[in-house]
Amino acid sequence: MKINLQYKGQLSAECDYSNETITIDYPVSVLDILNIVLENKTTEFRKLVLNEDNIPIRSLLIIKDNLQVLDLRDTMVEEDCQINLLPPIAGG
Amino acid sequence: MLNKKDQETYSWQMDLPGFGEREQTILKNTTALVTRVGGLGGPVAQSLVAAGIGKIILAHKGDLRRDDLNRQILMSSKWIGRPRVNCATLTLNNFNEDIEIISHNDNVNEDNIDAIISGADIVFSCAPLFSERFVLNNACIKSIIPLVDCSMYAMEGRVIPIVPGASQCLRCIYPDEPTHWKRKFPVMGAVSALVAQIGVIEGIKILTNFMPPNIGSMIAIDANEPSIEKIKLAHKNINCKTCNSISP
Repeated sequence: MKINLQYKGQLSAECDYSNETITIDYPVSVLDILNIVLENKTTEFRKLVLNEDNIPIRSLLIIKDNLQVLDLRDTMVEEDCQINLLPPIAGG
Repeated sequence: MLNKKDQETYSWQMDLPGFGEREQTILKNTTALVTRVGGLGGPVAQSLVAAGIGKIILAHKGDLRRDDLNRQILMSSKWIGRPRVNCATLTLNNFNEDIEIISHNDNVNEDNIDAIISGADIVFSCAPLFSERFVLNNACIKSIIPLVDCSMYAMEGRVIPIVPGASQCLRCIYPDEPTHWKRKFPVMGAVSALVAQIGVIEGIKILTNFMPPNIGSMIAIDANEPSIEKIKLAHKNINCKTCNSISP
């Protein structure tokens, strides 16, 4: 199945692109997807997603099909779903 | 009550479906706090004044610099070196002399927030630091004042309408203070103005209920695409210390 990802805010600046599509042929959770995409990202990108204990930062908004996801481990992804990662921003 | 001058000034606005004399009178009787009056807060304040808000409180410390001028539309290049909040007051009063403006040449903090927020019916948070946004969030939750949190970065923006007791607060959404956020961030003035307008519209919805406000959602604006998306936020964080401070 194809999963579409969008990196917003500082994340898109860190990896020089804002969209990515990955293909996976087995059931996966949002947390699995996060770990898969982080494999080829820079340290700076990873710092915006994970804390020092390698746990997703609580203030990072993880959105699946326009719904915020808190339970990353138990929320499964489906074909063609859209996952957006929004780091907190405070520009005024 | 609206007087004859009000009737004429806001006649086009009162032609909106669901928006009439009652709604315009609510705006006239409303006091809004806007912190700060830069790229985002400036156009927020301007559109509130244009919409007929009765009284506005502005808070922003510091003097105008040349590098503010790509986005701070209440300013003028002739005013470099003058306090920004005074410049904003002058521009807004020139636009609408009937609006009462209280200005503070200070940014909100834990020591001054009670005095600055006093009398406000709604707050628009446009500060460039999370510490300031959290001070506003705490004060709004404590005093049960609606808060419209407006933020931007580069070509993106977010608007979060917060109604204490009915929606997630900023601490529910951002439980930890984001440590990566930097004071200087890329800004195109048109993007901050775009985000500001969405924030003002949400604020007017909260105040008048002429349309349902997007409580429980975040409006995410991306001028790259361009797109405006409504994101349904997760339920209130039951462990949120800020929200729990007002819960029975």
